[in-house]
Amino acid sequence: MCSERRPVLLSVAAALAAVWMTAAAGYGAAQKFYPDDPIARDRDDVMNASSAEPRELSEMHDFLDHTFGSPGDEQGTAAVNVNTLDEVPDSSWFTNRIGAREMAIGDVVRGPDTERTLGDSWTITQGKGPGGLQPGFRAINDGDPTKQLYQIEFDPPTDPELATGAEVIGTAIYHALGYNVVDMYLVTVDPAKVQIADDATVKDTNGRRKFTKRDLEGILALAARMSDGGYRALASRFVEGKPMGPFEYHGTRADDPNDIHPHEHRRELRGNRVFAAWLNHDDSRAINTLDMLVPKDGRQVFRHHMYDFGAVLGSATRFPDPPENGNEYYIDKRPSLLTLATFGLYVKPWVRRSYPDAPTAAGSFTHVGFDPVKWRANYPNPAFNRMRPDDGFWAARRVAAFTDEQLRAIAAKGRYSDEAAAAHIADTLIKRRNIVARTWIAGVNPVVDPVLTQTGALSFRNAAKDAGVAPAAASYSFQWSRFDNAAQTHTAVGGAIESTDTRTTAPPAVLDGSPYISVAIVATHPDHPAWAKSLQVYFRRTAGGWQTVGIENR
Amino acid sequence: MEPVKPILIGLFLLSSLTSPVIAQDTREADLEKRRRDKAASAGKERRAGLERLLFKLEDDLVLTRLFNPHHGLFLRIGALGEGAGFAAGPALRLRTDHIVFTTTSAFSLRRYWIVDGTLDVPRLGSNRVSAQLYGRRRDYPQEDFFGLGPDSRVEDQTDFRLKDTAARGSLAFHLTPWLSAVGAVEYLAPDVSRGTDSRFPDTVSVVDPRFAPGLTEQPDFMRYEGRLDLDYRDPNLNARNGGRYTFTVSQYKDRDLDRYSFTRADVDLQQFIPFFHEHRYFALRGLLTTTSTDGGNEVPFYLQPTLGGAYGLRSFRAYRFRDRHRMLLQGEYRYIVNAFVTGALFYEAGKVAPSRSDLDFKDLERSYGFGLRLGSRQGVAFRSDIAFGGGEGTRILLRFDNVF
Repeated sequence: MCSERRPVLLSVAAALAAVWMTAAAGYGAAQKFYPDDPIARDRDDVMNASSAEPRELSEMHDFLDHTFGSPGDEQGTAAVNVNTLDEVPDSSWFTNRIGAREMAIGDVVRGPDTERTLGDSWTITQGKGPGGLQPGFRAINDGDPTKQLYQIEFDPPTDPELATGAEVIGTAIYHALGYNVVDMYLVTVDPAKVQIADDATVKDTNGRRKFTKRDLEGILALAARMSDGGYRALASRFVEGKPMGPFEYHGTRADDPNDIHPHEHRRELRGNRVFAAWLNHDDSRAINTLDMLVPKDGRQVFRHHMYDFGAVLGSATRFPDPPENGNEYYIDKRPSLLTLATFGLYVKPWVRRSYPDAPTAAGSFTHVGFDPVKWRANYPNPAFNRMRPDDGFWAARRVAAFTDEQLRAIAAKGRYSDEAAAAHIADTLIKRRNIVARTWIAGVNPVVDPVLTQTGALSFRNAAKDAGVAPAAASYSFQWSRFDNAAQTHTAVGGAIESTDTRTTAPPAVLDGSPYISVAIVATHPDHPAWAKSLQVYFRRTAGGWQTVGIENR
Repeated sequence: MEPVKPILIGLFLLSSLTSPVIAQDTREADLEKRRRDKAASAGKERRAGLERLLFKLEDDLVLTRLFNPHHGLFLRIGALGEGAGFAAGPALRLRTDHIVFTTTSAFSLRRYWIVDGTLDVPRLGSNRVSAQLYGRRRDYPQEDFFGLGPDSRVEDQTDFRLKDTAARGSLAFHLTPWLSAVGAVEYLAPDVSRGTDSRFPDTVSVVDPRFAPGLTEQPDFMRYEGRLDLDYRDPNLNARNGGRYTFTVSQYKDRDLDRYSFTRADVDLQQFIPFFHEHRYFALRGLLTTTSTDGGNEVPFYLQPTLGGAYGLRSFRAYRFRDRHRMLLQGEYRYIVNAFVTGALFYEAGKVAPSRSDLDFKDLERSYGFGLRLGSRQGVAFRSDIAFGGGEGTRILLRFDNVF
């Protein structure tokens, strides 16, 4: 009996072990790098979302919830949608553009725009609706066989060119940064060339009714008129698809199966804090975003947009930004209490500051007192609040990728009648860009783009030095290891190697055998203690040499 | 060895069954699996009841529709003057391309009521001229009267009922965006009778008519008004900068008794002096009112200027001082707490006087205190002031507008 049972027991034990090993090996936690890492695209369009239904947000609820509540997951988590190189893959949210590839000045300036020019004759099809601060309507450009719908919006008479200029500049920059934005054109509206469609309607407090000539007169009465009798306006193209409402800066959307990463932990949404600070986009909140349901290979999938940049730079849309915009939340509890308790004797630092005059159309855009860390949106944003130094580093490198020439060309897109306005905006963008870079790029270990040759020559760059915001590190330290991808363990090979250069050579022993190796790089600089944090870089052996497959712990 | 096969097959199947918790071979497959898992349990987007309600209020413009619609029925709240108590009532607005007609009513907890109608022509021929016709009937049954003059005593408080009917036509000339001139003609038919506030004696019964002109007889009046208004406040609904200077002359013609004709002149000067980028500012106001009569005419007590209450000398009760002439100086230091809250420290001094020569800086009544205002650049939605001084106690004032 025993002789017969033993093979059975052994077989069972062996089978159990096989099952355990299969399961263990299959668990994601056990394998650090997949064969397709690092992914360049997150295919977040694989599942059909056609059952999703449109939903809108209450502005008041959004403000109250974010000001007095704390929506979103706990803080402290690293961004969850980055690839193993700590980069954001392309997705329905984001497309790597500036900083990831060369962008010609023309491409940066053109931004999302697909039309060269728009004609000056319009037919109104709808009122603009109750939302938004700028007067306007919805219209189609006469002669357009596709009947593409545009939203037409004007500047207020008191501040011509302010909001429209900010909108086209902000749109172009956000496009270059990688977000989905809508086509945005500066046009001139001649009232004599505006018609009202027979079935045009407008919504007011009594519901929807016919759009009349009187409505148009009322809109134009609230708009800045140019000296030639025309009206400078924005024409924003309605995007393809079915509007599904704004996305939020926290959580995921329950009816979108592709939406698996909590928004507060998406790097491109966290990093938007850096971009928003750079542009003083204090109105960066869920209300100014838009999800569209678009067809994709027979499925319906979400595409996520940002829009409404009329309040960036020095604009508060209807008037120049007051100094509080960008400096504090609508309700910032501590300074509010201090001001209240002292009957106003406590004066917030940014209130005491003097700001230089700027051309009228540039609003109050300034670099004076700009601190990207202390910068505030109008009210708390869950993704912004969870931004970590590595997210800031990622975003700041994109900001730093804009050249002076590109920024001057983008500012010129605002077509300001006073050239000094464009010059002021470009200069301020450049100065604020430099402050952003100095703050966030030099604030972490700045080693980037590590490359390991087949023969073991390691080279990399110092992003802070490249951006001109810090000198070279005094020295670098390298600790090489073999890396077991399944067990996720490091086995050190040799001791730490010191170098003053951004090049070094891996010890031959580490290059033999292991399919994965890693190097921990520490930069040393007396003025930048954060550089001493050890950056872990992983390489995978391939037929052609070593592929950089992972960067972590920035 | 044969019995082992079923076991192995079973274990293989078991391992296959565990595959849902086993990661995929590639990152892409792993992410796709997570999305498939979510799809299997995908639900609907749900909004909390409060958010749904707030969105409905915003999307349907419910508050605007309720209180200030483009046209149609709406609700009027308040604006019946100090002491009236909470008031509300139905209202209706009708409009064409050129005319807006609005009729409102309000009824208060203290039985005050008003019904009025306004016909506005915003553009009469050009953008620079507008016209308005206005009519009202109102009944204010508990108006306070403390006697005339600067030496009136709070202990002498009485109350009277003021009912009146008024019809008015005006033309406004908007000479520039900041300067306008207004001419108006008004028919006014007041009626004073016994007050209904049981806490105080009735004015008609206890006050000697010699010390309250017009107490026993009220003629109808024609009123002719001219006003110049220079207004460059910024923002104009909750100013932090600029100023407003209004000069008004009104002639009241007694149509029945030839005893109560008079002329009244009001000068209202407001100046807002900002510093720290308008996060601090001084709001200053000087208000002067004088009346004049010819040939033994008198100024009816119910048309005399007053001081006291939420808009001037806040530590005193509303209408505490009343006489033919009035002077008021107000200063507020306002400090912006945040986007919605402004704090204020205030000091006020003023007096009423029986003759113009008595309008000097001697024996001024004084109030001081502090307060908070809730609102935005679009206006003050709520104000709370605590006022001291004057020896008549501390007063806490709650209003739904600014002082000036």
